Parts: sequence; C-alpha cells; structure tokens
Amino acid sequence: MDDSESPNPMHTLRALIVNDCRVEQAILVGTLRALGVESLVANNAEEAQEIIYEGAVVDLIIMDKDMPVMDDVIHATRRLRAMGVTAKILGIITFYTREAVLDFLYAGADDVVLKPVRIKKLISIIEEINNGI
Amino acid sequence: MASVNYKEQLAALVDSMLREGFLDEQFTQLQELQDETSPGFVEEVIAMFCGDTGTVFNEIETVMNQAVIDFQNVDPLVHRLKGSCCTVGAPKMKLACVQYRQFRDANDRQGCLSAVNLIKDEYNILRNKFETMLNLERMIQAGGTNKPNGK
Repeated sequence: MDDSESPNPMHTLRALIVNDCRVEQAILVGTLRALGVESLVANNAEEAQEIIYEGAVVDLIIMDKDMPVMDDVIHATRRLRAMGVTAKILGIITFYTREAVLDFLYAGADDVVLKPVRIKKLISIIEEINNGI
Repeated sequence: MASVNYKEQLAALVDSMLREGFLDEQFTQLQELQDETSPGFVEEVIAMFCGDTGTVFNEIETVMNQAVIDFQNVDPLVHRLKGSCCTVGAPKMKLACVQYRQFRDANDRQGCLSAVNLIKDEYNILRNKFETMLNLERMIQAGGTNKPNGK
C-alpha cells in the first residue's frame, strides 16, 4: 500500500493521532488544525491499524507509546511499516527512557519526543513532509 | 467597561499562574489556538482535563484504600496524569508526577504516598485557578469577545 502519493501537490496534509487520552487528542487535533493539517483519531494501536488497512491515506502518524497495552504500539508501528506505510511516524513518550526511544525507532518511527508535543516540532515535521524529506 | 476589567483580571491571573509555575508556555500555545473557528477551545480543554483528572483520582483512591497498596496499579494512573498535565501546560503537577516516578524507581513506598498526595494538592490548586479563569472567560464572552488574553 503506497500512501505517499498525493492527488495534487497542494493537498491538505492529514494526520492520524493514536492516543487514548481525550485531552491529548483534543490538543493535538487543535494544534494540527491551526497548522492546516486534518486529523483522524484512533484510541488505540488496533484502531490505528484498522484505519490504515481500510485505506486511509495519511502523511503523519503521531503514536503515543503510553497507552494501556504498550507493546501494541511498538508492534503496530512495525506492522504499519511492514504494510508499506511511508507516512512520517512521530512517537511520543511520557517518561524518557533510552529503551522507550530505541524501541520506537527500531520499530520504524522517524522521531520520538517527550510529551508535550511542541508546535515547533510539528511545524518542522510538516516542513519535512512538504519538502519530501 | 466591565468586560475590560474582566480581561485585565484574566490576563493578571494567567500571568501570575505562569510566574508561579502553575502554567507554562504550553498553555499559552493552547490560548493561541483559540480563535473565531474554535471560540471555546481553552474552556473545552480545561473542562476535559479536569473531568478526566477527577476520574483518574477516583481510580487512584480505590487503589490507595486497599489494605496493601499495590503501586503497580497506581503507575499507569500517574502516567496518564503526567501525560495530560504536561500537554495542558501544568508544570507543577507534572513535576509531582515525575517525583512519584523517582520514588517508584527507588522503591520508596512512603515517598510514593507523599508524591501522590502532592499530585492531588497541585491539581486542587490548579483546578481552583482554572475555575476562576473560566468564570472570567464567561464574563468576558458575555460582554461580546472570545479572546482569552485580552486581544
């Protein structure tokens, strides 16, 4: 499944937020909207995989590692890459451990940040996506 | 004139919360997200945060009321609190959650108990200030503007 093609070069970017906390969901959705990015929301890793499997095309996936079944998130990241998903994957963690960062990166995330996700970080990721990096 | 006064009061309240460390730049970024297309964004986020935090504290209390406290059951709850409070921009509450984690790593049960109480105390102070903030916002909006910081 190739999700990197756009219908036109000026298409609106789309993100998939994978997070079970509605406060964090609301803030990420609001922040991305302010940056011109539409968002889909999944409450867990399984829902996220279903959304992608059913054909949703996204440019960015923001994956919270700290959901009830933590290993599912790493496993889901790995599976999404195996499915051919080329969207940027940003992993977010609540408490920093080297292991948490490496788990995410080895699974295929492009970057991992500690909460909260800053607007500057989202802006730089969006710029990378727009520049095809 | 009344709404100008409320705007000043709101700005002063937010300033003092920033100065005293109850809020940080993450919160000011949230305020910047509020506009004509999402006029109640800050209020919505605060209400959600307070609602969810209250629910988590109820769950923490259930665990803490056990004869023998199993902190493994408290861990994911504090984890959740840390995630939401730092996303809202509440550094004092976040720090209390970090302290809990440090006590857990050190296997210090008494420290963990103190840290949980500190998280609750910080949240209660924050919640009271948020209530004042939202009351001022509502009075400002009743006067015909939806900008939270007097813009």
